[in-house]
Amino acid sequence: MNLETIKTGLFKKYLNWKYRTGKLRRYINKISRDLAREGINNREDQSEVKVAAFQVKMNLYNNPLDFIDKMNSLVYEAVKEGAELLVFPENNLIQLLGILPGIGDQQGSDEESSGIDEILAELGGNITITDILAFIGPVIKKIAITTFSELSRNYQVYIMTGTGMFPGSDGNIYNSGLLIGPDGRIIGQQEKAHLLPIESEWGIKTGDKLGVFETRLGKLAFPVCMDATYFESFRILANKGADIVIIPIANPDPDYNYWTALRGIWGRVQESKVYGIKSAMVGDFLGFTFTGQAGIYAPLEMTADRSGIIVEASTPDQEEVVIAGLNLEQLQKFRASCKYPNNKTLWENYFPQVYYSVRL
Amino acid sequence: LTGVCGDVLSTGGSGKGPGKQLRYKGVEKMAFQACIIEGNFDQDENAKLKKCLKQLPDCTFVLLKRQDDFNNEQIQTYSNLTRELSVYLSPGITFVKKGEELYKTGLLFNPEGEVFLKQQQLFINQQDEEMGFVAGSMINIARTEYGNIGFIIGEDCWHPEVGRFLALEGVDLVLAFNEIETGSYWQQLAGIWSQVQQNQFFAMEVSRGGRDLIHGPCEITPYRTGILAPVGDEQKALGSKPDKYLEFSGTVDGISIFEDLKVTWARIDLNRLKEIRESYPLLKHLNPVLYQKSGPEELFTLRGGSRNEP
Repeated sequence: MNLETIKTGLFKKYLNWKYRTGKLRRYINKISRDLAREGINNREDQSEVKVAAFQVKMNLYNNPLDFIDKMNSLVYEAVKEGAELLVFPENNLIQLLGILPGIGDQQGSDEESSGIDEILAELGGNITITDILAFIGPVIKKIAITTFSELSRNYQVYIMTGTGMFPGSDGNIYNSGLLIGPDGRIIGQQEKAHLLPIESEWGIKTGDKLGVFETRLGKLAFPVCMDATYFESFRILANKGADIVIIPIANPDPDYNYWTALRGIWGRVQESKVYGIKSAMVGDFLGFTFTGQAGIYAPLEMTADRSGIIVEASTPDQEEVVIAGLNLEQLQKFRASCKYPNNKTLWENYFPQVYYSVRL
Repeated sequence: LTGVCGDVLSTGGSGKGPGKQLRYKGVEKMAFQACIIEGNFDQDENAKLKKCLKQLPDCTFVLLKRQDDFNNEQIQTYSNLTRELSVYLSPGITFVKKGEELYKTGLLFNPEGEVFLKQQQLFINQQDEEMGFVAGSMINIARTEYGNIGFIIGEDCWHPEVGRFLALEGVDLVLAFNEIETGSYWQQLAGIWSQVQQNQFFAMEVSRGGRDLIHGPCEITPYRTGILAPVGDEQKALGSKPDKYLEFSGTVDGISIFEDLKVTWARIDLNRLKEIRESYPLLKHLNPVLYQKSGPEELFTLRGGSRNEP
């Protein structure tokens, strides 16, 4: 074992001690228990599931307690409106990257702050983004699990944590999120299955499973961002029985455009006849500017104006929360009434070989 | 109509046949004009179209918005017309009987006057079924000097696997014909517009009840709407919801009127398509391992009140 390895190991131990679970848990309970008692509502309408999607302004937190404060205030805001399923955006847990010295003092996309490439250059050597994530990812994940487990339990809600980039059991880095139940336990984890080109360049890997998780609120799934660009993701999940498909997004497009946003969850909801919840990350972060509109969607036929849009955030760049009630019984009835034509001979002629024929 | 003329590939899942070599092989013209013509074709159709197309001398691909089905006499008329004007022309969908089976079939004539591409509808909805139609099971692609051409017709417009298979087989331009409830623009956007965006090809869409649209990936269309033509008012494109834009109350480009014919036209540039496919390679990031692990039943069988399987 060389000196560098020993130093790295010791530093990781220090971070784990500094952000130890017990300390974080005590803090979360101190700030959230009273609010939770005040905020928890009885379900007003038993036939509806009230869901909330956050539009979060991205920040680089070098102190996890600040991150916890922020998450707690968002959760409280949604819970006092009666929400039982709360959804955070893609990259929500990346905000904790600031606990790593050298990164924590960077912020924004203005001239004075550094982008990820500059930070890597400053760190020197051959350090890559995946090296950083492999090192700090497990610490961030532990903080995230503690934070959202306590918040879920205290507020008695289901929380989709948003995503971070964490090493998997094979050592590769995945963009993944967690679903946590009102008992504070992890119900499921989902890895992103379709990447942005830039993630692929960074060396992030794709997951190869899409899960549907049975809860008291219905069957939930939570693929990630680009997964909503491909009909296959939603088709698989709908056929596995998903009622609600959650999509956390973080779209690095400074010039927000409604039409390009429409290429994601809205279309997939129409193709698959499920409810869709989109949570969006917005703002500047390490050289990227994220825009997007959180929203809640349904099949066209289930919305009064036949738009398929139940509610959307009013801006693409400010912090907001959107809340709506979803009627799963109505969804089931609607789905049962749809007479879907199928064509087995067609797909037998093309699957799977056609998917291996991409000519680029 | 039983034979297929021209350089048409009935692809069988790629990797097996010549589809592998299709992309851009033989493509000589990377940019061309395309138009959709709507009007009263009841009388003197040939003369009207000739007159109109002579005013659009650069137009290469022509789609007609007319009622489905046409007789042998009309087929001869289209054949003569395409030969005379040297255009690719699709009059839309006709009904073709093969043995006891009746297919809704899209037809494309080439500039030699031949039926160059035929495509049977692949998904048969309840209404089609009641009328006695059955589903086809193969995807056909025409290789032309203007890129690879395919059809998406009728119900298939709302089945994303059709566009996906076409894209993976190398299609550059899709010819689409469908019908929706009048003015249901959101429904229209959920069809061909969505297929174009998730597959990165161009499409010419004739929609009865909807708008005739020429589509492309958002990045290479005005205001990033995904619609090459018509081009509406910028304020409406960027400040309203898409259904309001599709009203085209402030059209600024892409529509011309010739007597009683309305022409929706656009310039299609395959170079720009190539650029966006390279800079944002959507198909490259498909995840076949996931799809295989999930299994084809999960991927392609729509549950609910599932119906026919040919």
